Amino acid sequence: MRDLPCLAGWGDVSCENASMHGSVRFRQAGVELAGPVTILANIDFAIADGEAVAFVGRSGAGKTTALRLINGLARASTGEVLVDGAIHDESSLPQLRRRIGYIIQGSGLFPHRTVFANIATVPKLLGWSPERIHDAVHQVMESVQLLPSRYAERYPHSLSGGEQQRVGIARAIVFAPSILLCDEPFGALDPVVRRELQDLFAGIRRDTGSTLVFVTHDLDEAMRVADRLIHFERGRVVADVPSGEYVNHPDPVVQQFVAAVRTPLDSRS
Amino acid sequence: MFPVPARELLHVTAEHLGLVTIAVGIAIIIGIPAGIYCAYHPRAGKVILRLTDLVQTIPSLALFGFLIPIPLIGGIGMRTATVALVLYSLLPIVRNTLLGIRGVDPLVREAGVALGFTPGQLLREVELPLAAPVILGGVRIATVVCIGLATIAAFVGGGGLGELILRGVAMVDTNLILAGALPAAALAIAADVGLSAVERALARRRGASR
Repeated sequence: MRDLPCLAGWGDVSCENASMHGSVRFRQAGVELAGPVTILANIDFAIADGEAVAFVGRSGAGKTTALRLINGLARASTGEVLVDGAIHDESSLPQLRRRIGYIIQGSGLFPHRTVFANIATVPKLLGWSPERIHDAVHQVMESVQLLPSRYAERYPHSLSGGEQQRVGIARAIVFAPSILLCDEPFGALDPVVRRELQDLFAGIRRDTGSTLVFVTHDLDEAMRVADRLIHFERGRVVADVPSGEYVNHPDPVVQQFVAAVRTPLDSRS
Repeated sequence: MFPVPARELLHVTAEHLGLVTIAVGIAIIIGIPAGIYCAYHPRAGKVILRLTDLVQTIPSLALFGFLIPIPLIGGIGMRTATVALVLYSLLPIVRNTLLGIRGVDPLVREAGVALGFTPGQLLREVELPLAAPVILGGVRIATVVCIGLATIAAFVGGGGLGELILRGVAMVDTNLILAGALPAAALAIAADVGLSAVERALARRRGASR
């Protein structure tokens, strides 16, 4: 199966990962720390294969923990989280993670590896041939607009924040993951670069059609990348709606959130 | 004029270097895994660090003396000297391995986990390479300390440059003492400079210790 001629795979969903699905199911999932501290409680929803969902809400509301439950960086202490209908444990998690793209704020690049080697991480773990890795990495670098001849052999510390984040995106999508998880990926960037990368990212994600779960407290960003918004507040889901209906959601927490975003815009016009 | 024939000087210098190389080599083989273990098991790590720390507080001549009556590792000769030097080399290597691994940016470690590295792969491909300059720093300190301490090995029949010093003291011959002390000092400085350069080169490749 690994010898298929297909390369990076976006725009060509017939690649190997397409045979795997990208569905996520939270079943009454909760996370508690020692003592009575509850991070998440009774989270219950499903994300279908190919869906683009944003987790929104204030800092500390539990969005990031919910995201980390999907790739096992956090574990549910009550209930369960299923990916493609299965519960994963320590032995199966590394395999699962190799088909989940994960993009975080500050990119988390390996400082001792070149841009090329960073992007090639998962393809190498998957045992791709050197030629296939080379082609896939170069293709993905083009699509995040990093010229391979200029950037491939550089080290992360010599890149700007925006460039590092492009590498982070490339590293997460080069293996055509069936699920893409993003945690405030553009949070540390200036507004211009931020907008640029949002548009780039939204375009790439439309082409790949992988399932997307995107954590952000930026409502505008959530609307750009997702078709469905799930609003977290104090470890619970208070709204779960298509993005178009979000601003009219009756929940007071949502209305407060919307108003907080809107006010500065309104007072300007 | 010159207190020792060149052949003999070369011989004891080689003996000295051999002693240090073997001792530091064994300390690396024991110390790096021990350091890794300490990094993953903080409670056991504390005990191991305390023990290696304790060794450093024993005066070196006394340590050589303690070892002589112990069967198998003791006695008069090179073996006792090697054991003592290994014990002294352990602390900097264990401690620096531990610190190097603990010092890896948690974000980078988590990125490795999230990309699907198994714990073993994470250690080999992320943690150890990033900790390498710090670990090498420990090896450098161990080497420099060992080169100095190995002169004392002559007291337990371990050979090396200390033999010249010991003989010089007995004969009240300053030149003979210097013939042992100066090469030892030069070796220590050379090791320090050389290993520091490698350390810096490693750190540079890794993006200014990030």
